[in-house]
Amino acid sequence: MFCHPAILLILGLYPWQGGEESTLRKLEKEISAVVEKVRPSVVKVQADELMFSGVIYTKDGHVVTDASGIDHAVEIKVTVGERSYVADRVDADRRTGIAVIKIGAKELMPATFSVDGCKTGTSAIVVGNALGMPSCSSVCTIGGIGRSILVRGRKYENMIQMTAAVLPGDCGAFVADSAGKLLGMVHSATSVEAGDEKIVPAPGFAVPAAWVKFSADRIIKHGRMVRGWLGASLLPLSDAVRSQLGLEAGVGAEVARVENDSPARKAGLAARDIIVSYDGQAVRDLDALQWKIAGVEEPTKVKIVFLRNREARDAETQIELDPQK
Amino acid sequence: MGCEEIRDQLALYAGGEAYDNDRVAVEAHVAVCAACARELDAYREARANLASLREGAAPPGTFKSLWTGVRSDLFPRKVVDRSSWLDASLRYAAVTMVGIAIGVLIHVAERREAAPAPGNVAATVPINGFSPVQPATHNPSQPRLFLRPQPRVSAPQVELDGNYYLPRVESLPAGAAKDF
Repeated sequence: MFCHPAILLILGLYPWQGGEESTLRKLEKEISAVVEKVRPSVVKVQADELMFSGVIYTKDGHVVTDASGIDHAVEIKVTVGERSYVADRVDADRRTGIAVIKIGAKELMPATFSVDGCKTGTSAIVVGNALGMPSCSSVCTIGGIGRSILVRGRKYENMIQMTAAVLPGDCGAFVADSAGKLLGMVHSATSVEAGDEKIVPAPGFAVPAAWVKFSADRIIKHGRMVRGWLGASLLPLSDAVRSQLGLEAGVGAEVARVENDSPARKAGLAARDIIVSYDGQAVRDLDALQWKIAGVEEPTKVKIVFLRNREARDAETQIELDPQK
Repeated sequence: MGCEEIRDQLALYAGGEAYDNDRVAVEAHVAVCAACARELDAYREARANLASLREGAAPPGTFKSLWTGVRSDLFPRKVVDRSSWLDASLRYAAVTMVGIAIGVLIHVAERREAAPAPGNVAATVPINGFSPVQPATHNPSQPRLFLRPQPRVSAPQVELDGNYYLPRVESLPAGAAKDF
């Protein structure tokens, strides 16, 4: 019975093609190797009574983890392998949900970051501390990118959606690609519900590696989160509207909302305005514009050209530092 | 010592010819074994009756040769059935089966107590990856059946927003607006 091919296939022992290693066996080895590579960079974070995960960012003790998890924590402890350290909070980025904490350890194994980004449909491996179990791993598929989610009344953008059923304790876990590089850091999860009972977490969401790195670098560099802020919500423009307005293909972004006391308000922007130029360059890609504004490290004056009732208007405002409200 | 070994010593003990360690063993045994105690009384009575037939003390070894010779006639041994090991084995097996049955009954009773109330079956949260295997449609009047025992893992009750932290997504905002 135990020699049945189906059983052997499940066990990864079936000798395909005249004794060669099975594809399944090779895949298992690859996954195992990734987990082993990632494991030293995954830590357990204990913020008072909460337990979750984190990722080593620098070899001299910077750890990235979830910002909301350490909110109001009196004591933060980080466990690396068998050793525990008391951690100091450096700062957090409310926009990405990334926090940086520091422990007094040296020669740690920092995560390596993927520079390729991730694509929908590719595989990923989550390594965290699900339910308190160290280095718990699961394999998943990237279900989508650029997702927006609402968690505790706060909106998070550019999130990676995963098919992995990330579990409580996985917050801050390492999402690795097939090379063991960080694709993202687990942020939150939806959950399937039946009545008032929660059954199991469903698709999880992760902060993409590029934003993890951006937030962590800024916090470490300045000792606090520093990023630019316009104070407006923008929508991509449809081709139909572009043609009506006589704009070039791909150009323009519609203002959906303007925050009070923001640089956008001071520039005179209002909902339904169409921004066509920012700092002398045509607005074509909202992601690129978001990076550009976020990348501001000190208050900077910029010129904005926008359309209101088909009429072009010039405005000048000062991009401020994000108040991180 | 068992009864058989003690009975070999009873005649010697009654005649005062048993070794010290055998004497101690006999005294300890007859204190708890009524059958051997009665046999010892019979030896003592016979010894007293015999003593009344002659004068002076009997020479050493008299009782050993005498009582050992007549013992089989006075107290015939039970015929030992060589197949009695089978009976003993069956007895042990029966006792073992009863023990297992009691254990299973206790286990089933504990599982029924620990099982969630009817209607909450679908809400059972797996703990450490294990969950009870049970029929998808469960009739509360029927005993629950488990294909495999639920491991006794002392895991805390899992709460999504409990001590093991993982924020829950409240909603997926419609629209593609981004904040700048």
